[in-house]
Amino acid sequence: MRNPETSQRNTQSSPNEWVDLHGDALYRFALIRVRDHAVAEEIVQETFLAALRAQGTFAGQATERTWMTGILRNKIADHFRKQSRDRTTNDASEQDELTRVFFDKHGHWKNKVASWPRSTTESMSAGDFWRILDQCMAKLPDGVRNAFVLREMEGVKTEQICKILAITTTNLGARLYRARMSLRQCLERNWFLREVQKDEG
Amino acid sequence: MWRSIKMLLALKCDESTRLVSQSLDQNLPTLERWAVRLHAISCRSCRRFRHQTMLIRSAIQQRLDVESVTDVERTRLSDEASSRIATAVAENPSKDSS
Repeated sequence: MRNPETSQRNTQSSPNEWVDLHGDALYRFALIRVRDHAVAEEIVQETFLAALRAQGTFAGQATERTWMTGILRNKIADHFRKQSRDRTTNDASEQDELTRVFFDKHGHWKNKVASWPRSTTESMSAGDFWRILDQCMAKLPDGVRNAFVLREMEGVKTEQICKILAITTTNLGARLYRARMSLRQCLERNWFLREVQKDEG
Repeated sequence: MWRSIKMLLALKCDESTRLVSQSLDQNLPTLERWAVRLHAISCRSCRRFRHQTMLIRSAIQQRLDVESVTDVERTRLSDEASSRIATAVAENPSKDSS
């Protein structure tokens, strides 16, 4: 579990300082996961309001930031839950479609998976790479991305994700598979192989 | 029995990648685990797929670590949003259940 723990205070600050103290960090935390500025702002506001109501539960063992991040995490899960209720889940036909995109009728790769040059994998911690990763994540359908975020960013166990999104294990597996196939290909096209072409050109 | 032998010896790339993805979320049953391994011996694309998928996973983890320590991206709430949220907080004094 990861928290934006830059604030080390174990005492509770006054609510009218919260936006200054924690607003940006909570906003960033939310934005990486929900990807929409307006939604992230709304979730931060809801987090502060929930924190106000729950002030009595802050035991001072964790930092105030950690406590609020916990509330924020729940709000993000609530958002995914709501989004999941609002739309139809991807079904088996979409799964077949995905298979047809990447594999021929014999089940073999249509395009062989390229080797990623060491120079490009070593620069994966740079800001440029994050931007491409963001763009590739943005292309995923919401339901697929939300499942992937819960799994790969929040480290939530699969049973728990199924509960949050109200989907079956099979459906979750299909979504994560789709996310991984699409992200890998998108990163390959826009980062790993593009970087090589740039070097050669 | 026949199904098991077929899976072990004739796993296709589409099935193999599906199982590789599944293995990142839960332990695979023994048969499936061996089927993926045997397939990978002769399939370079699937070996790369597995490696690259795990590389992406660790890159994301790395990003979250960096993000949690420094304000590396300089993303901030807009002034407009800050003041709107501050107002909402100020207008909602904590109430005991009433």
